[in-house]
Amino acid sequence: MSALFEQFVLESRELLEAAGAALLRLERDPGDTIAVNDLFRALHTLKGATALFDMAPFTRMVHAGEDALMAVRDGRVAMTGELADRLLELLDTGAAWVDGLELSQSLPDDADARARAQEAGLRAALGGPVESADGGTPTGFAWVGELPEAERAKAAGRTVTAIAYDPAEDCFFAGDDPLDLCRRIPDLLLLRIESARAWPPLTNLDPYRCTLRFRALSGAPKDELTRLFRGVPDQVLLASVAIPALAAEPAPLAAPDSLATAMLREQARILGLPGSHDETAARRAAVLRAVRNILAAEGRNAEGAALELAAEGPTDALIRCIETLADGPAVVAPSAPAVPASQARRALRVDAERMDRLMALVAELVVAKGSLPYLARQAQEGHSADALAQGIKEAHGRIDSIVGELQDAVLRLRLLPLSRVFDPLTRLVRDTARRLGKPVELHLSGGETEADKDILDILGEPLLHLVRNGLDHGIEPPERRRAAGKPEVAALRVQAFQDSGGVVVEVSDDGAGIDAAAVRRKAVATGALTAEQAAALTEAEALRLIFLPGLSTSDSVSDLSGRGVGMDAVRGAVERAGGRVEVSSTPGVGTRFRLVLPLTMMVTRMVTVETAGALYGFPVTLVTGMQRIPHGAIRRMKHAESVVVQDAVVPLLRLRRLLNLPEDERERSGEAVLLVDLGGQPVALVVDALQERADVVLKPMTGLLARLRGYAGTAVLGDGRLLLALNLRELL
Amino acid sequence: MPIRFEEKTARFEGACTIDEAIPLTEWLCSVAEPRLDLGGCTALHTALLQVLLAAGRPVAVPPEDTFLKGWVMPVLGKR
Repeated sequence: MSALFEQFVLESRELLEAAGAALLRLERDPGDTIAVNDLFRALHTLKGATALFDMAPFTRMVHAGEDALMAVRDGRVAMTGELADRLLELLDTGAAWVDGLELSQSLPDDADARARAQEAGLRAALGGPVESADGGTPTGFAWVGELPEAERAKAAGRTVTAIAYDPAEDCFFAGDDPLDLCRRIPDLLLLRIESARAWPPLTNLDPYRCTLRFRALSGAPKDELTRLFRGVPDQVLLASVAIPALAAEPAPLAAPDSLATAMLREQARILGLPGSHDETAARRAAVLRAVRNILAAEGRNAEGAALELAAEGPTDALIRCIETLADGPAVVAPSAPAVPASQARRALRVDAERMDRLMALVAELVVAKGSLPYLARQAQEGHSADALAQGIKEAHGRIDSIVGELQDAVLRLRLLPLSRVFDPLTRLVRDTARRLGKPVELHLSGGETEADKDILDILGEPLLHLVRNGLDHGIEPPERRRAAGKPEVAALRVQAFQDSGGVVVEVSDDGAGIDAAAVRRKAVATGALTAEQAAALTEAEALRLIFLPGLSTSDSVSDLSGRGVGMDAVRGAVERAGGRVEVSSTPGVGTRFRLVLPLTMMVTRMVTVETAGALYGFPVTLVTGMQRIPHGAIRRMKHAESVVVQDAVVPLLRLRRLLNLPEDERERSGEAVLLVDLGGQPVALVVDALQERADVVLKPMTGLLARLRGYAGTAVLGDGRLLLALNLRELL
Repeated sequence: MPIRFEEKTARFEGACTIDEAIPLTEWLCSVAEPRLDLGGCTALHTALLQVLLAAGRPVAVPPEDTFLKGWVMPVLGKR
């Protein structure tokens, strides 16, 4: 993949995302002119970029979107939910194509049909058949507007089909005769034969290489011409255009050309002029300078990116790009500078300051390292052990503090704002609320809170689940809200903030709340609990049952949620990231989910325990307490053991048994017990000995060991011993 | 024989195909003041048009054929 193409993929994604965000703003407030302009600018730049790579369907589709927007901007059409749906669909199609392009570098086979369907859909949403006649000149047909009057006399006042036919260089070998094909164009109104480049001296001419380009106008309908050119669909562009009557009122085709437009067109023409290699190179540089200046003078710096992209490509592409620029400024309001707010997407962009800090620390480390050879020399020369130990301790202290800071600096490199996972929610809420017919206002806050890249990757999915669940089950239909005396527009809040070393994300709604009694009944019905067990649960414990696999309180399975897989998956994902989920709900008032996540996954805080001579670790986030429990306090019911902790009966498990290790035969007065919270189910775990906490860098199990699901990973402790991190849920 | 090469004149007759491209190029290169007679030409292959355009020689006798006269001659005349 060429660097240019890579850039295109990256940029189109950003443009599509920017367009999506602007569209949502526009739908919320149809009078938001900044949003219209942002959206228009994004689409326009995207159109220019796609034109660079000869992706006609893509260009056409974006162009159709641009047309629709123009109608909105001019006040001809109102921004309706229907139109927004269409435009979002268009952006989605575009995004899917970009993904495909990244993989296969080509558009899907049905791209043309899809583009047409989008075009037709938009036209329908705009109300009425708007042939491209009123939508400006299609891309690649700027030349139609520039025809001298004499040449377009025959076509004046008619809607004709414009043909741009650029035969492939090797088309003669395929048996094509482009001139003959042009001869067969029905109702030919105009034919221009141009050379793609300057003619070499006759002795150097390769007569078998086609370098001619054809531009034609025909009175025949587009379909008929499509049939005629069916053998060379990749080399021909067709478009219906209306040619204004001669000496008529301002041409609707190329609107009243501004000076800038005329100048840009001229630049494109100059580029197309024949000439020697040196001449064209010099001209190209001059043209680029001129176009840059024109754009700058027009306040269209934002479009400069497309130009610079094109400047690296072949001349044809550059000409096309300049023609697109000439087609019209993307924005009318020069006051709004292009702010690509979501630049931190996909590619990890790092603050220069953070990079500098890293460099400074590495430099300090190099200096600190320098003291070690000196100490080695002292040892060799037989200095006293005390003095040596002192020196080593000092060196260790220095290096330790630098390494600590270095670790912190590296972690900071990976920190990204949560807005990355928040942004897609806007679209999700909008679509879902529309589908369900529930008016919802989404309040996002704390998007600037930072968390590790890996945490963000894990957080995205659960967050979508929670928001979707809130919309589907939490928030009541408007009638019920009205009856309950609540505002008709429901409020869904997603907020993030930092809390003692971790990130907290809360998703809350002002909906019906969760019916704890219903959850209990459901749990009993699915056989997860007995009726007695269920009755013994507190309200909070009953609520936590929704995190059990296969438990959904919704009776109907909608296409959104309610299959009972969601909440289980949410809990799983969050716990894999070393965090936990909490839920609280008040019937009739609303529900709040709280995700508590560690700031980073690189360093995990573990409680270490010793059992049968080996060390095991549990994430601190799951451990709620450590106790010594006398033997007498343990109750036995056949094989099941339990213990009363804080007035609650908690099942007691023995780690040795869970790991199939031999029983501990030693005589002890009591048991060392670790209290662990397994998604709402407290468990007491008997271990041989409790040890200190440790910050470790967990390495996941790889290869064959990856199948051992009871282990979350391994870590090497400071003294070189190996720690096995356990995944307790898998062991039970 | 669609193109007859005489001493100083090339006469185009009927449908002139791509087979003539190389002979025409060679002939144009070898003759000092070539005279082009397209009068009888009814079809001109794109490759031949390219050779004529690259050579930039005036056409002495324009073709009768409407398509060639209407759309191709103006381009040839410009050179």
